[in-house]
Amino acid sequence: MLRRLSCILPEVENMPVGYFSLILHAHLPFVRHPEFPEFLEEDWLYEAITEVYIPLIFIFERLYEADAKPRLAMNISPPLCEMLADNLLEKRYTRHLENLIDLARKEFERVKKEDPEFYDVVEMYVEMLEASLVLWNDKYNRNLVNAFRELQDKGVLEIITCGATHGFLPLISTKESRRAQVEVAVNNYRKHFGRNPRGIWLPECAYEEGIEDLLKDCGIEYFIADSHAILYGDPRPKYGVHAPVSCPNGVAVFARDIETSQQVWSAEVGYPGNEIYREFYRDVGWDLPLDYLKPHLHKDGSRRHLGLKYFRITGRDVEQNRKRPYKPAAATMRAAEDAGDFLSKRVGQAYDLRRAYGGHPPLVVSPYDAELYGHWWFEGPQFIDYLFRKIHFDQDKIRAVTPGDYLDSELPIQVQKPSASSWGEAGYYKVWLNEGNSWMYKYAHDAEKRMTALADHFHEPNEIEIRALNQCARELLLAQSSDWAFQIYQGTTVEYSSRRFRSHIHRFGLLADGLENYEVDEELLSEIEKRDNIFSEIDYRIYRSS
Amino acid sequence: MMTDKKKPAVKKTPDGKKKPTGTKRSKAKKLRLSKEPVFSGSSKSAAAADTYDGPADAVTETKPRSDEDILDSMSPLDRKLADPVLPELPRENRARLQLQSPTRLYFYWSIKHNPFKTLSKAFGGSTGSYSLVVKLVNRTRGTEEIYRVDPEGNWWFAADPDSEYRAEVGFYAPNRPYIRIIYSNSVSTPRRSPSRRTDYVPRFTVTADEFADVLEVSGYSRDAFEVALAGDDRDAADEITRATFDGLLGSMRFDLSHFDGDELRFVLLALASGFSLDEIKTQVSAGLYKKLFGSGVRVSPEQALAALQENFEVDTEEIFETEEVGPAVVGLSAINFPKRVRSRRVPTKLLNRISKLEPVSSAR
Repeated sequence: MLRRLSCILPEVENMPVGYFSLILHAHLPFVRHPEFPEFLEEDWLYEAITEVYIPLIFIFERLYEADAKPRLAMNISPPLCEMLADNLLEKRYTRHLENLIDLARKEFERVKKEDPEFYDVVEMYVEMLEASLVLWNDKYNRNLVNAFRELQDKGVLEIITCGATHGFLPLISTKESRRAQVEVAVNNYRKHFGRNPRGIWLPECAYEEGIEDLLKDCGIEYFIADSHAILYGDPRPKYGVHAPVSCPNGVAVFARDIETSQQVWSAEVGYPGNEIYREFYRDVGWDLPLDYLKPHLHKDGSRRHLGLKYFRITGRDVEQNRKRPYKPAAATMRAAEDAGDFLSKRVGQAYDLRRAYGGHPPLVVSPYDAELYGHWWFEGPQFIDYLFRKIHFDQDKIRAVTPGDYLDSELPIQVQKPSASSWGEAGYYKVWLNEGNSWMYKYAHDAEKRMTALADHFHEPNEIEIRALNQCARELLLAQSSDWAFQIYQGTTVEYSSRRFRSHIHRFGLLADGLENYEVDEELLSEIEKRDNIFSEIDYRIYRSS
Repeated sequence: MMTDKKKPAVKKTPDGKKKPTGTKRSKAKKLRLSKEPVFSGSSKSAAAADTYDGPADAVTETKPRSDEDILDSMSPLDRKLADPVLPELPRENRARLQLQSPTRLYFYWSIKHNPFKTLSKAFGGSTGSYSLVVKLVNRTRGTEEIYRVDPEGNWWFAADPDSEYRAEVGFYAPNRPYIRIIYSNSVSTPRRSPSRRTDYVPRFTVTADEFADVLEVSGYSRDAFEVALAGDDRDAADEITRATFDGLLGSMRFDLSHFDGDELRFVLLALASGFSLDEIKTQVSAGLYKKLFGSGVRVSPEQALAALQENFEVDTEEIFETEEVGPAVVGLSAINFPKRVRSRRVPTKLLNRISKLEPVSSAR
């Protein structure tokens, strides 16, 4: 259900002082390794399902049932949708969760006798994980995409799309490849959500002039950008980032509000740094003796984060070995207080902005990585829960809306040419193009040109050639994922990210060589299809030159 | 995105050596979470902290996956896929220019045929003075720069904001014609500051004062100050800015007419705030930096401030304020916060008296 915002027009009574649009960006790179019985980096997905996606879905459902009228936009990226709908990953996640429950139960018995100061936190984990398993198996039928889809159909979420594989559009060299990132994403959205997306989270909020034309061609009405896309746009934006602007072609732009970003996201002043909250970095996977943990580790016996964390932050300058036990009840209370603080600051901000804008009701757009809520900030989902309850039940100054709602209000929107920008460090493209990862681009660009040449060349391919061409498209898309360059820059999982990029370029090359020589190796093709099975619906012809 | 987690670092002995593999920690009779001071992690907050080393057995019993181990256990097909090698790209003419930021560009190129052979064919033996170069052309300002290079490679260029660029590879020799071999796509560098233009649609027109307010409430305080400083009459403000610079440079004065007025004002503010030219190197266009630094300009904060006060009526107390919040965020995202590098907040009270920041001579 899409709600119109005609009620917010200035002449209508009970108009709120301002509007608030929470936008969550849920994305993980496509990590699926059927060639191994278990794989460390697949944990990224499993942890996010347990800590982020199930809690958020559960909270949104509860809010809906309580008639709290939660309303927010959420991007569920195409790779994430594909992983959440994948049979192999679904089975592996179930195994992962059951294993974690076994460990939590074992721990519960242990701490009862030996470590009573951790009783509360372990009890919380047992209850939470057991509830997650019930929800996963019985309520969501192991398919979270459908759960998100239902929340959209109920009017809680406005689900938007992203680049097909989160490709950084300004650094893609050909128009055809950029278009493919958008078109494949839109087709994938239709497959999973049964409708067209209204909006798109541009991967890394990276924009340069011309991208809006690709979006318009795919029927997308708006995109999310960083603050300076609008603030440095031309002409000067009358309402800054507190109203959308429209590109000359009619595609709208919603930009990030800095104040709300800092309040939640800043490591220095953000809520998640409160001493009451759960400490992320101390995990039983590194705290308990290895023999004890062994049944719960991968077969290689390596320690890793297991997701059971027993300590609170304790203090900004407190060393990890001096952390104090986590108290779930106190953290929940703190989340409620922070939600109240956040809302009161929104009210104050709305009054200030309204004054600055000569009475125009401001829209505060607050985009965050979804994984901040629950994974990095364990209490984040509770914060969102309290926030929406307070917005609905405790006040009438702020109203939660989505970008689509705002556009439906038909409030006049200023036309502007936004500025090139991204939401990454320093505001442009440095994170994804620098001395450490620039080596990637000549290979990606070569594959982009070659893909279009192949698509143009094969007018009447046979069945195997069609499969090979489609798989080439998948490999190129996977190579373009911005996650690889990002992680290389960040210095995290550098080897894995580098290998993934090389793998997809390598696989693309093997198949392209076969196509060019009219000798596709079917055994090789089948193996690559089995591994990189993203986008079953893909059609290589999207790469044909226009 | 949350793809994360640095693994706990390898535990080292005080002399910096790794502990020998296989040295197991003696088992406690009871299993307890380690609370002993065996960790050597940082003391940052959870949000920003590095991970910690964990107990001793976390290191000595951890077996990192080795590529060789994995490869040995695979079928030939699996191995072919598991050992990905980047292809040797065919020798082709490539010239790709990419934007990194308003002041930095990346260029990579390769040339299909040996360019020196081609040159010899064209000029016979008289090619001795020619060098293969990359040339960056600023098509907006009509400037060029060249660097000697190989037939294949990459280059990082310093650039000016708000300019259109193209890169080329060709042959250069003093007093001889330049010979272009390949050229790149065009790249437009964005402004690093707000537009000077206000909307012609009356509903969306904003004055400089109003727009300074907009920037201030959006968290872009430095831009707010600069917009307010420039006022509505940008031409007059630019003229005064250049005159201010001329006054500061004294006998060293040189032509600043093709440099952006906003940027010149930023330099003035930065100098008045106590920053050296070197400190703002990455904040100004390469051309301006070269001009000022190359000329050995020495302007003290007091001189810059006095010049600002004289020409723009800037109040001292209102310039020197707190630093912006830093860039660190919870998790591994690297999110941009505006002007985090050495910018200084201008207090809101300044904006209440924003008219004081109009150029003294600008008509109101």
